[in-house]
Amino acid sequence: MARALAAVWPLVKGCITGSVLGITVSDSVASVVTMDGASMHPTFDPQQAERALVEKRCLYRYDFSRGDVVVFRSPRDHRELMVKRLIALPGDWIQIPEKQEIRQIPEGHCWVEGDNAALSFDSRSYGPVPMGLLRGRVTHIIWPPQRIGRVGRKIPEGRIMPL
Amino acid sequence: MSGFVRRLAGIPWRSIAGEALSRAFLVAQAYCAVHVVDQHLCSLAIVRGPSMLPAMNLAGDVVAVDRVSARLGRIAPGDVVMMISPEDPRKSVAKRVVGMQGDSVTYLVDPGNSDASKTVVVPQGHVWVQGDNPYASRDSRQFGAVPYGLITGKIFCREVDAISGANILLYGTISWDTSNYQLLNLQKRTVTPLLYAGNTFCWHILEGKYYPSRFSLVSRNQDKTGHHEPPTPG
Repeated sequence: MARALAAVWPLVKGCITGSVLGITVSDSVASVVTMDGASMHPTFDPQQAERALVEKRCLYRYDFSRGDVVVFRSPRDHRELMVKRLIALPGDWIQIPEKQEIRQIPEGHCWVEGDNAALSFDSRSYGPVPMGLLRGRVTHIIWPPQRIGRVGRKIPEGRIMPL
Repeated sequence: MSGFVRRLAGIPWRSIAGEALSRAFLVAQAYCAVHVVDQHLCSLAIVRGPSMLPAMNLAGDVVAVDRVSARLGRIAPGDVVMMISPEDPRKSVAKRVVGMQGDSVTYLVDPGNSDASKTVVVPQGHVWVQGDNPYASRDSRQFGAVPYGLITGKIFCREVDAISGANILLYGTISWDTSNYQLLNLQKRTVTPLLYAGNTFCWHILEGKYYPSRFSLVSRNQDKTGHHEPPTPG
């Protein structure tokens, strides 16, 4: 019994070390997220299950820019991660064409929208999202190989008046 | 010159480099272990401010935060939670959960000045949080229900330190600081005995008695109407 344990112990120790290192790296440096849903077409293709690299360094000081693609916990269900584009930062005035109104983003919140406006459940439905829910910024697509590339910034024209 | 080069070549660079790398790896492992325990299991934090009087001290309390319960969704009304402030993502605040999604919460709009109350239904995926001290707390009454995803942990244990300057500071604040006194003045008859009960160590220090540190469990209140029974100290 003791000999079996002694034989298995280095393996167990390696697994524990590897998982602790992996969790720390995925929490503080970068992690991978799988895309699901058509709300970000054409930036992400809904037919293929694409994997994207999520950068976490931006969470230290919450320095996000308008037009970044961000990952955040859904305000309707904390277990779900959503990927949308960050359109406006706190203090900006944003024009919502569907409701024909202009709103100011309150302090500590941001406005997120999907690139595919028709199929996207975003801030136009549930309002500004607290920035404390943000979990990272998508910088690259890393799978499948033919889609590898940077995910760039894109700001819709004429809808935001920055502070 | 060649003697110096020969001495340089004689130093066992490879073994030094190997040892340095293994030491650095050990430090990295320790840092990662601390990070994982702090972010995913249990953490310590310092909580300060008047919004959770008398459960928490004005000038600072060390609390233990349980991260597992929040991740698993096992937060119930009456729990004190640590959460990211919806007004500033760089700040963490401690408040008490009064209602979960679907609950209807009744609260006093302006407790110092009027008896008017309002009832709201907490939307899906959100919680309603309030500080125990309704006169000096910025909570869901000002910024609305907060998404559950902002909750980072459940506070389950608080260290009560007899020599904490917080108690002395609080005693001084009530008696001599006129600006804070005005804040508490409105319901002085009810607030002062609550503060007295919550800070019994303060009075014992001033009378010369000494109590060693001990831990007090942060208790759960089931009252949902915005009037809270203060938790008994110790």
